[in-house]
This record gives sequence, C-alpha cells and structure tokens, in this order.
Amino acid sequence: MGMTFFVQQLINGISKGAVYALIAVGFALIFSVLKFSNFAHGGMISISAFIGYYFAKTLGLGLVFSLVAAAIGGGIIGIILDTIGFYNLRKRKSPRIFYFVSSITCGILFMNILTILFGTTYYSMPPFFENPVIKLGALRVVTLDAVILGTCVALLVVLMIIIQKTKLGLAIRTVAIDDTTATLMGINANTIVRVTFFLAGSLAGVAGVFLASNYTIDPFLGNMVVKGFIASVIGGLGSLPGAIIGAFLLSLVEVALTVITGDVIAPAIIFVLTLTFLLIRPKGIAGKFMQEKA
Amino acid sequence: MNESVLVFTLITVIGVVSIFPLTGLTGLFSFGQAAYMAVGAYIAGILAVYFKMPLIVCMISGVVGCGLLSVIVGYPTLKLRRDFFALMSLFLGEAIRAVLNASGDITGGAQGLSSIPKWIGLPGVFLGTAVVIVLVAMFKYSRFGRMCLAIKTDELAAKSFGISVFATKMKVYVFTSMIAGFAGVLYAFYIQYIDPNMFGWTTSSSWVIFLFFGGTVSLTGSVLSAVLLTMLPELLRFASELRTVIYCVIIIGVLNFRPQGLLGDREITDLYHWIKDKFTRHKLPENAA
Amino acid sequence: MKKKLMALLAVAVMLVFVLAACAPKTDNTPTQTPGEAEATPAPSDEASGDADGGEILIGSIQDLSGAMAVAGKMTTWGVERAVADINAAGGINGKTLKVVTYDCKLDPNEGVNAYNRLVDEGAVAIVGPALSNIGIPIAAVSEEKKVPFVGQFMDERATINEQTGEVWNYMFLAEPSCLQQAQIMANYSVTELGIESVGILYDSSNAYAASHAGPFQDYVESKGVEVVGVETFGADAKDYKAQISKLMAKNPDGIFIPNYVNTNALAYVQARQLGYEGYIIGNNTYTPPFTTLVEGTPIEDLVFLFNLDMDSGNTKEITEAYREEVGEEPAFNIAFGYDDVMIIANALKNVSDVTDTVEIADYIENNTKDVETASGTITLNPETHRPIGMGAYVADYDAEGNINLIGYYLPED
Repeated sequence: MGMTFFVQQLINGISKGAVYALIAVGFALIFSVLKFSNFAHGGMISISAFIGYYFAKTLGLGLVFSLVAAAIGGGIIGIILDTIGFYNLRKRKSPRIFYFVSSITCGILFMNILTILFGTTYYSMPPFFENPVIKLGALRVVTLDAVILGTCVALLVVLMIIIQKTKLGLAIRTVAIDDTTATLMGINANTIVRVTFFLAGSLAGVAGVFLASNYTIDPFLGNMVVKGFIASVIGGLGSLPGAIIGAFLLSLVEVALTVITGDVIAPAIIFVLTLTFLLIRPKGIAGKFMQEKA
Repeated sequence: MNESVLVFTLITVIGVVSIFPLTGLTGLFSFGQAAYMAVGAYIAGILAVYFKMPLIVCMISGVVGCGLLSVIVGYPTLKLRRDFFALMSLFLGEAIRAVLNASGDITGGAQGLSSIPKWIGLPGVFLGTAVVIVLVAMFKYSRFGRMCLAIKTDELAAKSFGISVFATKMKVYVFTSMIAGFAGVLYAFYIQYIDPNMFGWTTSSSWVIFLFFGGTVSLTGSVLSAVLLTMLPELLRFASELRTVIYCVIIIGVLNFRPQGLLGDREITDLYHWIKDKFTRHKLPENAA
Repeated sequence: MKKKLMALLAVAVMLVFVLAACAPKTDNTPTQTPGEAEATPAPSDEASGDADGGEILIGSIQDLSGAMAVAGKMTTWGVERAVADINAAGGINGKTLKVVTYDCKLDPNEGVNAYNRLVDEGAVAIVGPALSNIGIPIAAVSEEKKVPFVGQFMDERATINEQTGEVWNYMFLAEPSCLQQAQIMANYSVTELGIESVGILYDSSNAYAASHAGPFQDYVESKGVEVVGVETFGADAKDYKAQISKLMAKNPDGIFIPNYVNTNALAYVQARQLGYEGYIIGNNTYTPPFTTLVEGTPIEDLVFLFNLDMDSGNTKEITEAYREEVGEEPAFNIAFGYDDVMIIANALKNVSDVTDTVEIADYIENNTKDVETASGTITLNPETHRPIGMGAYVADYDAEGNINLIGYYLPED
C-alpha cells in the first residue's frame, strides 16, 4: 500500500469531514448560544433535504436556487421548532434537561411526519456537476465534496462576521451569556433566540441539500446530526471554529479506524474516545464556557 | 387480546418501571436502558443455547452481568453533566449494538440468536412484573428514594446536606440497569429469538416517553401509561402509521403544558386514602369553637 | 404502612390487568390497514374460517409502514390478486377465499402479535413476509399454534430449527434461501466472470446483508478464489470511501455488495467515483429505484440477482395487471405474495377438512409439487420446506437503464 493509498484515504477523511463540518456548524450555533444539544437539528436537516429535492428535481432549478430555498425554508422550520419545542420551556424556566428531551422528541416527530408524507423509499437529487469527480493522477476527489468544503468555510466566515462584528451578533453573544441580564439591557431575548433558530435552521437547510446530493434522501437522513454533536463537543462549547476542527478530527479518526481495525466496532471505540475526551477536557479544544453542574 | 400482546406490554412495563428510579426520581435521562435489556437477554440466551444452563443460572447471570457492566459504564459517565450523560447513554446503546453485531460467532451478529428455549410464559412475566413493581415501590419510599429526589431537585443543595451524590447515582444506575436486564431475560425466553436491532435507542426513548406521560414521580403513573400507550395502538390498529407521531405529540404536549405528567406525583395509594377519608366520620374535638 | 400499600397496589394493578385479559375476546372486525392496494375484495363481517357462509379465512402479515413497506405493499397486492383470481375461478371447491392483512411494521413483536391474532380469528393458513426477523420468532410460535406460515423469509433458520436441526413443521419458504442466492451469484462470478480475487463490502448491522456475505465468501473460497478483504460499516453510515479504497488497494477482480438498495446505490457510486473498474456483484436488491439513485454515474460491469422474469411465463399477467392498476413498475414481490397464496390454495383444495390446520400443513409439506404460481411452478422439498429446482436470474443493466436478464441459474442443492 503505497503513498497513493494514504493520500487517497486522507482525501476520503477530509471529504467526510466537510460533510460533518456542515452539520456541526448549525448544531454548534445553538449549542453555543442556548447551551443545549439540539437534536431536532437532524429533523430540520431531513426536512430541508426534501425541500431541496422539490426545488431541484420537481422544479428543475439548479443547485444554488435549491440551496437558497432550503436555507429560507430551514430557517422557517427553525422558528416553528422554537415555538413548539422550546418557547414554553423558556417561559416556565424549565430545567435544561427538558430542552434536550424536547429537542429529541421534535426531531423524531419531524422525521416521522416526513415518513408519513413520503413513505420509506429513497430519493435522490439530480446530478449537479458535469464532472462529478476530479482526477489527480490516481487520486480521486469528488467534486461535490470539494464544493461542500468550500461552502463550509465560507459559511463559517460569514457567521463569524455576523457574530463578532454586527450589532445582532453582539445581542446574540449577550443572550448567550445571560438572557435575564440581556433583557435588562433592553434586548428582547426572545426575539434574539428566534433569530438564532432561524440562522441554525438556515444552516440545516444548506446541510440538508448538500447531504441530499451526496447521499440518498430519506426521512432519517438527519440522524447524521450525532456526528455534529461529537464534533461540537470535541471542538468545544461556545466555539464555532472549534466545531469545524472537531468535525475534521472526528472524520480522520473514523477513517483511520476503518483502515486499521475495520469499521464494525467503530461505535464502541467512538464511545470510549468521546467519553474520555469529555472527562479529560470537557471544555473541548477551543471552548469558552465551562461546563455547569446540571 | 392475546397472550403475546399482554406479555410484551408487561415487559414494557418492567422497562418503564426500571427507568423510574433513574429518570423519574433522580432526574438522569438515559436513552440506553434498552442496551441493558439487550445485555441481559443475550447473556441469558447464550448460556441457555450454547452452554445448556438452566433457567435460574441464565437469569441470574443476565442480571448480574448487567450490574457489572453498569458499574463500569456508570463510573465515568455519571460524572458528566446531565445532557452529556444522556448523550453518552445513547452512544452506549449504539456501542453495545455494534459489539453484538460484530461478535457474530457467539451472538449470531445481525442475524440474531434463535431457538432460545421457551421457559417463560405469561405467568412468569406476570410474576416478574409484580416483583419489579414491588421492589421499585419499596425503593421510592425508602431513604434512597428520598435522596434521589433531593438530588433531582437541587444537586448542590443535596450535597450540602451530606448526601453522597455520586454514590447514590451509582446505586440507582446499577439498580435500574439490573431491572432492565431482567426484562431482557424474560423477553428472550418468551420470544425465543433476539437480534441487536430490537434494543435500539427508539425503545429506550419510548420508555422515557411513557414515564413522562404518566408523571415522572409517580410509579402508578408510569405503569398506567406504559399499559395504556402500548395497548391502545393494539386496539386502535388503524392508526399504526401515526403511532410514533402521536407519542411525540404527547411528549411535546406534556413538556409544554404539564411537565409533571398525567398523575403528577399521585400514587394509587392516594386514591385509597381519599376513599378512606370519605368514609370516615370526623369527630370534632370537645372544646372546638 | 406505605410499603404494604404499595405491595397491594402492585397486586391490584395486576388483577385489573388479568381481568381485562380474561374478558371475552373482543372480536375486532378485521380492519383494512391503510395503504392497501385498491383491488381488494370487500371484507364481510364474518371472521370465522369454516363452512358456514362458505368462506375460508387466511391471513397475511406484511410490513406496511416500516422500512420495507414498499416491498410489503407489493406483496399485499400480489396476495389480494391471487385471492381474487381464485374466487373468480370458483373459489376453493365452491367456498370463497378471504384474506386479512396485518401490518407487522418490521417489528418482531408486532409480527408475533399479528400471528396470534390471526390464529384467534380463525385463519387456517397465513402468508408471511420476505423478512427473516419476523419469520424466525414466528417459527417458534407456529409450533404451538400449528397454523402454517408460508412466506419468503430466506434465512434458513426460519425453516429449520438451528438447535435441533429439525425442520419447523409449519414454516414454508417459497423462494431460494439466502444461501442459495449467494451461491448462484458466487458461482456465476467464478464460472462466467472468471474472477480470481474478490472483496466483500456489507452492512454488518443488516441481517439480510450478513446472510448473503457469509455464504458468498465460503463458496468462492471453496473454489479457490482469493477474498482480498471483507469490509463492513454500521447502520446509518453513508460514506464507504475508506472501506472501498482499502479494498481497491488489493486490486480485486470484483467486489460483492449485498445490502439494501440505497446502500448498494451509494456504494456503487462511490466505488466508481474512486476509480474502481472491476465488477460489482450484487444480490437481489439492485432493482428500482437503483437507477434513479445512481443517476449521473454510468452503470457498467454490474451483475446482480433477479428472482424472476417479470415479463414472461406466468409472471407476465400479474406484471401487466400491476402496471395498469397501480401505474408503476412492479418488483418480484408481487409474485411472492401470489405464490404464497397459490401454495396454500393448493392444499386447501385437496384436504378433507379445511379447518384442520395440521392436515393443511402436512399437505403443503408433502404435496406441493409443480404448483402453478406466478413464478412458474414450485415444488417444495418435504425435508427442508424450501423449493427444489428453483433458481434465479443473473441480470445487468443495458445502456438505457433497463434490466437485461443474462441467464437463469440453479443453486447447487
């Protein structure tokens, strides 16, 4: 197994990482601002995948159009999610664990509604690129993977600009630290939370379309959100760039495991690794917020 | 109403009752309890099929095996904050599923373990359920139960009262895992075939849902909701596609509007007291104004 | 005091339960589960299965709402079509045949419940799904309830008790078993494709895939073919490039990929994207929507198993009927349902007592010989309860994306 093999596997790892990073970005946003693991993100991804499918396949519009449509659609779903899942919990000041339970339930709900509407068969997006594969000698890079990587980085940059440099971003950061104090400062915390959900939903929308293109579409596509969670945890609570780094770390570890041991017991190994990581460095690589006593 | 419906319902009751101390009393959400059911079922099943051990040996081994595993897993995971614990429990479930799939030579892998002898029927499951309910009820009203409630309400305050939080959490975790394992043993010896996909996080989640619906702190509520929500789809078979959706809507409704669940913290004994109260003549004290 | 009361409570709840159980059986009118095909004989309100009213009741258990619902609904269509055809031709010795279908939702618990329910309702024989995780637990129950169960559960343990080596008396398989199917593909690969080295890629959490991978490997190894690697992935995994690259590094002549259709499609696309040019060998799930799912990647050097020739022989009629009624291309599942009913009807027509399920099972075991079905003729082996002399086609896709049948092959036993 020569150099080509290792480089190709590296490319495979990075491709996988790009997909995970896409999911992680939207997940990490909620994780950072509202401080809970939003598993409904997976449900939003699934719905967006179908929205994208509608625009791309049924209406025949191209990739860019579908992305924009899914981003807007996803954002709206995000707001709906907040209304049914979390708004009341905020009003009642429910314990944080309820948010998590609610998010999982909403995620399952979304995916099962999709199952009722679309059945359990698989769909696929039309191909978007003339050349689906870029050939570099014996190496192969899937075009879509490269596009995903680029989009991810671009999204991250845009997001960071919004959060660090705009007034909206300032409001979001304030609410993230303490929503009661933020309200005292004249910020409508509720609106800011809604905006955050819209943003997260849009990111889910973009993720949904790309995932749909890269793989097949079914209501449970969003189950990949688990990878986004692990990436966010590794990268650290409160850090968006950290989540991206975490995503690539995760994918490279997975590929390495596949090459060395075979994929079968990977979930068990990932379990042990994640656990160890959480115990040793709960803050993650770049995390800002300390973990709280539940 | 046939026997298998009853048996599966009762086994679900055991499952829900098993997470009652963990989630209801201590506030620790676990989406991996079904994994312990799997461990119990597989240990018992393998001993019966390949080593021809008698029922008692299989049953005890299954339950004890779960206990041991829960000690090993619980020690690191219970130190994490609550939502991380919940997530790790989900990963535990998947990890166990992966291990079961991978060890095809012993467990049959994804194709499952078949031809397990049928040693448990409806009477056995009935007895098992009754025993479990009694055990958990005793737990709730014991000192342990009260400590758990304290931890759920406010961990820091509980610590300041001298409650050893970590030790209590460990004890509850091991206790609940063993009960879940017991459910697995009964299940294996009834249905005679088990495969790793039967014990996924969806099963664990549905137990959490039933618990919530009935009333997190009410044992009666858990039992009733498990029975109701399992039997109802059976009787209303037309809604089979919508079953999961209905469960989700119930939970969202409960979380949003009645977080204490259907029965809150009432138990069936409260009903007894209430009835008794109605039939008692209250005597006024002699010098009442 | 409270402890005693809690103990009382436990007993009280249980008592209520037992009372509910002992209550007279609510004879639920068998309702149609949603999503059934339109061609359904309207069910009457009688649920008994014997001579009064001139009706015979059979049951059917299929996945109508789970992950395999697409196949389950097609099978149900086949079942109902067969029942309609039989009744149109005079029924079973003058009596009308009636079928009640229950949804097992791909869940073994539901499957067992459905079986018991059908037995309680008086079904004298039951059609099963092409699902082994449903078939195997029902095998054990069928020994108790003694109602024959005919289906396409291809795991050999659904027809033969793994521990005793004896056949399950009431279970019957009406398609080649997974072992036979894997052998057909393995044999074809060795003799016709001339492969000398092969890799295997499958979903280790999928019983169907695992049940093909094992026998395939055993067979090719016994013929001297080198298995360069067996790579797996878990449930929900969608990216197999690492596994494929690993196999490609050893340059096998072919890669065997026997999973469900979406996984197969992804694996096929990724293999070609990575530049693999050898053969891709598949099982019987490379049928539509495979072509839609791999759109954008040319389909070449792919061979797979295909149970039946949908457009010829006995199958042609129902294929065309399905196209007309439903407006879609059918998969061979429609024949599966049809075949199961035919095998059962063959017994029902010739037994002396149509309510004696033991006699019916016995007849199916010993006298299912050259029964005319949608798949051609089926003969069941009394020793194994599986078909004798039933093979399958090996197929590939032509340039327009149509399935092209290369040849018909029989398994070795």
